Amino acid sequence: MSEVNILESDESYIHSGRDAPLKVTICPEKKSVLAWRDLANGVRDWRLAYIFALEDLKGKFHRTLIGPLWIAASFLAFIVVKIFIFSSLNDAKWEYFASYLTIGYMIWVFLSAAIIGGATSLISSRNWILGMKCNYSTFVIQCMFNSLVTAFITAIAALTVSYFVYPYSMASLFWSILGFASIVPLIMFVQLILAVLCVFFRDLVQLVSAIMRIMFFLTPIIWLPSMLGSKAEILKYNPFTHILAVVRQPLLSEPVPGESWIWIVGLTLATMLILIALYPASINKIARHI
Amino acid sequence: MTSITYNNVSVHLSSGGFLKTRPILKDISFKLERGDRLALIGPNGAGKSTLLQSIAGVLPPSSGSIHIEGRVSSLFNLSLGLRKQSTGRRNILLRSMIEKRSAQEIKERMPRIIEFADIGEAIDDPMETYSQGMSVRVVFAAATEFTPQILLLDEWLGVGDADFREKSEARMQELLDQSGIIVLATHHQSLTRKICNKGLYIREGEIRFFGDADAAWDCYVNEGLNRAPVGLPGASPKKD
Repeated sequence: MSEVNILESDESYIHSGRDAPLKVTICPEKKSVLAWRDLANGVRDWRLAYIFALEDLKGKFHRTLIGPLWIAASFLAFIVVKIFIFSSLNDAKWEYFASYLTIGYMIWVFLSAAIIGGATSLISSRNWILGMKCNYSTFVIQCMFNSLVTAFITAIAALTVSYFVYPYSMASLFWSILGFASIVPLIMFVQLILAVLCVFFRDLVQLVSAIMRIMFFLTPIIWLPSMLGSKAEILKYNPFTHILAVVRQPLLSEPVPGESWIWIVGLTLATMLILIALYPASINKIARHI
Repeated sequence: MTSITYNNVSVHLSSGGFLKTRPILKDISFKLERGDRLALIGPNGAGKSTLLQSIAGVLPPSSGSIHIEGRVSSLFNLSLGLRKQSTGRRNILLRSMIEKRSAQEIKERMPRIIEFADIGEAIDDPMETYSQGMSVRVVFAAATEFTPQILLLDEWLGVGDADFREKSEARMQELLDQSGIIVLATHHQSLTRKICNKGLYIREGEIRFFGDADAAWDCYVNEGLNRAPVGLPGASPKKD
């Protein structure tokens, strides 16, 4: 049990704390203020996270001929192979399945990059966290920017392919973008929670990676729910099914189930509450454990 | 009013095991005021770097309280606070942004920082291609350009070539003239006896002596000689 509080202004700061077993000064308000300030400053200084993300992107494709276009190229190659193999395993129209898989996989690329990257976002920024006083949330937002850039590039490729094989209206595109915007806060909260937990429990990094690999096969991306028969019932308990639904269904000219919106709102609120409890409790311990 | 006040500060760091921590700083108390130049001395692993990181606000204390007044800038190990895949110019930008400098301020100061670093066109090359001396120049120039009120240096005294040493010493003198505080973690005995007015001798995370710089060195040298044979790492300070 320990308690630390930090009061800070631009020009000066005071930090204090106490570890058990003796008397403990409990100042939850101070810790929550500190946590809130870290999050608010991280959002306010989004340009810093953006520049970090740009540097990541530049570093990743340094001295390559086509640069970030590799993201679109590898995505398209993957899609072509998947459509070729999996379209023959179901009864759906080829055009529908191609669009279903392309859009589903596009969303999965974003989710996978954001969640796995988010889990290690603080650990991989260790040299900044220990080198200078900075907002931890900056590095999680950096990871979100990285994932959004990847998502943007894959979306151009995916939406183009999808439009030609199974056309959608502009209104459908609008609703899909709105659906995507609605999942960003949820993914951001998940990233923050995992980033903090992974600092203390390093096994979680491997666990998250393994779970995401398993969830890829348990989520309707490369197969249709109709192929599962009665087993399709379990899909409604998979959060990724609903996350995919709010983005994918409009582009397939299908209504988003009301249940999916309830899941999105519920999960967003639940992760926000977890974050409200977790972030203040751990913020002063992150640098000491990283 | 620039000052650093430590009251019974302890810092526990992760010891590598599952959720295990061990004390690195134990019950540290001292006070520094404007114009103070503190030589932080002690053998390797004594807790000097941890103490500097806690002054910088990077490592919050496990217990006790720290009160800092003044804008802090720190120069730690070159593996910290740098993105080696990025250019020198980009690292200056990132560092200045983390220190909450405005875009306008950074734009105005960037030419001066680059001029002080004086590494020519290499400023636009990735820092992983730099020699250690070049990295030192860029980081020092960026950290001191905005005139911090408190400057923390971890083994940074006497680094770089003769030309750079002269420039960096002149800049540190500028900081002192502006009533700042400088804290130097160092093994350079004769140099810090000249430069510093205060000394803090730390061993195994505990303060052994805090006061006059010469007295701190005398205490360290005497205790060091009594503890371990001369020649063992950390057993005796450097006589430069």
